[in-house]
Amino acid sequence: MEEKLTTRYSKVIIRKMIIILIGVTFAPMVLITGIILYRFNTFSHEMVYANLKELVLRHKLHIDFFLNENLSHIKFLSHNFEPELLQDDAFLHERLQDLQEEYNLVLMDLELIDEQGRQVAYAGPSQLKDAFYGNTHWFKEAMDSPHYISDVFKGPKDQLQFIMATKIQKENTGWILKATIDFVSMNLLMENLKVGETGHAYILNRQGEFQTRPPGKIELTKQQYLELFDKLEQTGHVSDKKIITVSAFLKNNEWILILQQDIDEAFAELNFNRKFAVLIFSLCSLGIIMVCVLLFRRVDNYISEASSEKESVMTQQIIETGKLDSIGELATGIAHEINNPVAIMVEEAGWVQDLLHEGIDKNNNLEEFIRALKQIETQGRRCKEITRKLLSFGRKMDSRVESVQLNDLIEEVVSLSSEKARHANVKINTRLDPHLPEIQASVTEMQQVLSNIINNGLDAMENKGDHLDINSISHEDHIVITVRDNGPGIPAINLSRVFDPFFSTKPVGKGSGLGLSICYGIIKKMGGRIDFESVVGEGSAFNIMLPLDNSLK
Amino acid sequence: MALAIVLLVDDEVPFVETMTKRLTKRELEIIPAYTGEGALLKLNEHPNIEVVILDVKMPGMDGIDTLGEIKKIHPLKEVIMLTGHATVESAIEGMKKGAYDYLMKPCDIELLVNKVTEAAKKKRRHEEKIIEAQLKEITMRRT
Repeated sequence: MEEKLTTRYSKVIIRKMIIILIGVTFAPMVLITGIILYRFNTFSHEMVYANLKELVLRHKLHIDFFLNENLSHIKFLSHNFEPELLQDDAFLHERLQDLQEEYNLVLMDLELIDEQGRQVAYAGPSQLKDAFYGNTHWFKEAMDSPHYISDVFKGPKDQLQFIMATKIQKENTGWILKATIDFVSMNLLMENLKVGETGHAYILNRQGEFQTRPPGKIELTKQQYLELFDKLEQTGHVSDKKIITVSAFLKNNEWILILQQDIDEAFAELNFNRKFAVLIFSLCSLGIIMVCVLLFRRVDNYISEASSEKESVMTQQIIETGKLDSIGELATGIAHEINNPVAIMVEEAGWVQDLLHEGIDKNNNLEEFIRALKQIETQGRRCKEITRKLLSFGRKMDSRVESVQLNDLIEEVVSLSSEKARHANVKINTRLDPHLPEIQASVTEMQQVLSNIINNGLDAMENKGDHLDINSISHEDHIVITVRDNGPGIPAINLSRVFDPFFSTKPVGKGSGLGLSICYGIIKKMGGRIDFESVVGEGSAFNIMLPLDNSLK
Repeated sequence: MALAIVLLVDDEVPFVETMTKRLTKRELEIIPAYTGEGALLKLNEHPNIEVVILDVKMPGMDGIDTLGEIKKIHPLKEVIMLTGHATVESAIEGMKKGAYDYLMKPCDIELLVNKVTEAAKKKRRHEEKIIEAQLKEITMRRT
């Protein structure tokens, strides 16, 4: 019970210590990891967006350059050749061929149109003659500005294309030099702008119409596309589509170049790193927890080992101290006991000397001599008896375990204590079980236990008690020895401290307070039990229970 | 006339007997007792006892208790404690309760006789002083 309590208590302490240590270790680790992860996240996002943005910007320049280049070709024609010259189909055709040779069929056709929108000259594949553009939207726009680039539209052969036009103003007459640009060539530019597996670039006009091939699988609603115009060059992800977009304006803010990529892919590296960090963190945490638990288990083991070692060392020390204690007590008792016969012998010898001074001539004297000598002899024998007891006690000072008949031991201790009992005016009654089996025990230790308890009873009664009863009874698997006094009993306040080392109610110098704690230690070591019952005013009884098959622990 | 009238108290009968003979030879009048209670009875029986030789360790009422009782009832009687072992504690206890001196067993007979006669002289001086004082008081009253 006691041990269980101790274990439970130490377990609670160990658990608390583990929690504290884990807390102390984890708090800064979590904080630092959190901060690093947050910074890393932000930085990675910035990096991803910055990369994409740079790509978009490069392409914007590229596309702007492409458009400007084509536009400048037409402008070159319009500036360097008179409209009269351009009106000639053959001339225009030659120019178209030059440009196509130079620039890989980007220009599909060239056309000169007068102010009213009538076709004046045409060079190109469609054999378009006398076309009229006066009512078209693009023509009006082209007439209002020095140059114009249209949105993408379907040509006569369902070919996607867009128009570039530049205005020629000669005196009061205006012309439009128009070129159709192959859409495929534009798309080729976009194809170059591919990021990873899911990254696609495309161009939208302000109406949300695609100016290049639309992106792969994920498409946004028209509204979402239009919103991109408002967030000019802003980066961000469209929440419900799990994509991120980076955009830049083209063609005087009429078009927008959008690079879109799946979030998963864009942040794949970041996610991988994050997962890796979490894995490392988990491993570290696991490591810390394991180390903590193992460490404290070990500490717990060390502590319990050390404390049990300490306990056994202490018990041993107390027993040893007790041995000295009882030797001291015995020496005092013996000295006192032996002093009385010695005093008588000395006095008888003195008396004989007194008689010798008078002379050995009277009968009376001779009888006195004989009586005195006999008395000296008697007292000498008394001394011898005392020393015999002392010798037998000394012989048994070792703590070897042997078969012990406790009844004999009880008688022996009782006879050693008889002098003390006589002085305390106490009669010691023994009622011993004649069939008491022998037990395995150390004679010294059992003697110590018995004499401590008996002397304690005698001390307790002082001169007031009258009898001390010692019983031995054998049971099936244990024997019980009871020492009952009719002294004053133990006050309730001291009941719990009776077996505590150094607890004594005797005056200073009279007792070390070790007696009963030694008994407790010895009996416990033998696998037995010692307890007591006490009624104030009626006396106390100490019960020693010893197992019959006790193997010394 | 004896040097002093002495009450010898010890639970060891042979000791008391032999001691009585030896002390009697040295002109002391010895009255023996074997217990504390017996000693008190003897003191009542023989009011002329001057000195008590008292063993400390005795069954029943021990020497220290007996000393206390003697000093209570007969404060002028001198008591010499005799014991098998002298501990500081019992010596202090004895002197506190008014013992004249303390001797260890076995003790030198002459030393004991000296102590007894000294104690008896002290007792007599004490008594004389008291009588003188009483006489003075009586004469003072008369004048």
